[in-house]
Amino acid sequence: MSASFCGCGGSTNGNTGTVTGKGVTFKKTVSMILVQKYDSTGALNEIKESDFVNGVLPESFKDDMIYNSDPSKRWHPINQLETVDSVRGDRALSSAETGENTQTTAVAIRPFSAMVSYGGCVFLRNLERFACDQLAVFLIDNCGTLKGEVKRTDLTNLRPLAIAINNWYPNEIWAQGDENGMVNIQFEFDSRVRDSNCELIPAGNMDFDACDLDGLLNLVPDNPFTNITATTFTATLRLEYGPFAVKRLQTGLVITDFVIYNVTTDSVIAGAVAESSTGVYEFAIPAQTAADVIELRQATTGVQYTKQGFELVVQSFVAV
Amino acid sequence: MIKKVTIHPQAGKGLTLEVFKETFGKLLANHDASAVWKECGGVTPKKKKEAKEAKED
Repeated sequence: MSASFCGCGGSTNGNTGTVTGKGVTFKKTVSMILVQKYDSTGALNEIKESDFVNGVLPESFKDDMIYNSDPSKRWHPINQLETVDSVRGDRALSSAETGENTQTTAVAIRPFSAMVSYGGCVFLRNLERFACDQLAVFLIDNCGTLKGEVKRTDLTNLRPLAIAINNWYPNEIWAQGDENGMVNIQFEFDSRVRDSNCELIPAGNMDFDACDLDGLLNLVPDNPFTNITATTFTATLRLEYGPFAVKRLQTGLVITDFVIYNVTTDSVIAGAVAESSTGVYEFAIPAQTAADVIELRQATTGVQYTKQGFELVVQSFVAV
Repeated sequence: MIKKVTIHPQAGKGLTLEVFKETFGKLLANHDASAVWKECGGVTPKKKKEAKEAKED
């Protein structure tokens, strides 16, 4: 695999001076933050210079990204990467028939492969859900430094490194001998990703530990809701993780974690909830017009900061 | 398991105390429903005479 060699990158003179003691280098990759390259408005998902406060990327920015209600803007951290391998292959050369005048004609694509030792099939299933998206990644090293790239025409926005289209390939490595099974993530970077365009944000310039970010969990209601009356319904809420038929129940949610929505009248219903047993939530609502469609949604704010973030799979029922 | 009840802060708004108790009474069995109703925006409607006096003032 190779990409065209695009020349010398501008008219400015290259100078080779360096500054000792101030240089930031990117070390061993241990985490990545997977993002959509473009959000739902078509804008690039970038870290902007204006997102910094006094030179530091604040924790609130990170929270806004991870808990964003718009999946196209959301950060998906993947931690504890092992056996990371991302070495460009050899460049392509061409020479005259005499063997002289050898020139670089193409640069190799940079592949990426890493192992993740947790999550198993459920984690893999979630990774596969990204396979049809146009993706990009910020990489994080073992010092907590974040790597992205800038365009030479736009030095104020740090973009994630683009992944080649339809190239995201997670798969499971089954256990052999005494080893554990692993999830393997493979992809190739977009051929336009240039190493020399990369820029770094050191750990000291982020008000959070970029190596230790956690993504959202999917929360799935048992279908259908039960105990549906004019003023009640009951939802049993489970994570995707856990054994077949006995997925783990999600406990500890309160009314501010939810939005009860009347789709027919396009209005929020002010209700109450009690967790009657682990993961079983009894809701009470004022009586709605019969046949109205009612949805249980997730609140977009409030919940994330007191417990691990989640994305509730929206489910509806018809009012009686 | 102790049943922890949480209620929307506007759940009493627009509901009479009677309707509020009918709607949320089961969940709020161990609570003072009328106090919760007031905390959640429940308002006792003024009687006609009081409303007239308030208007004249």
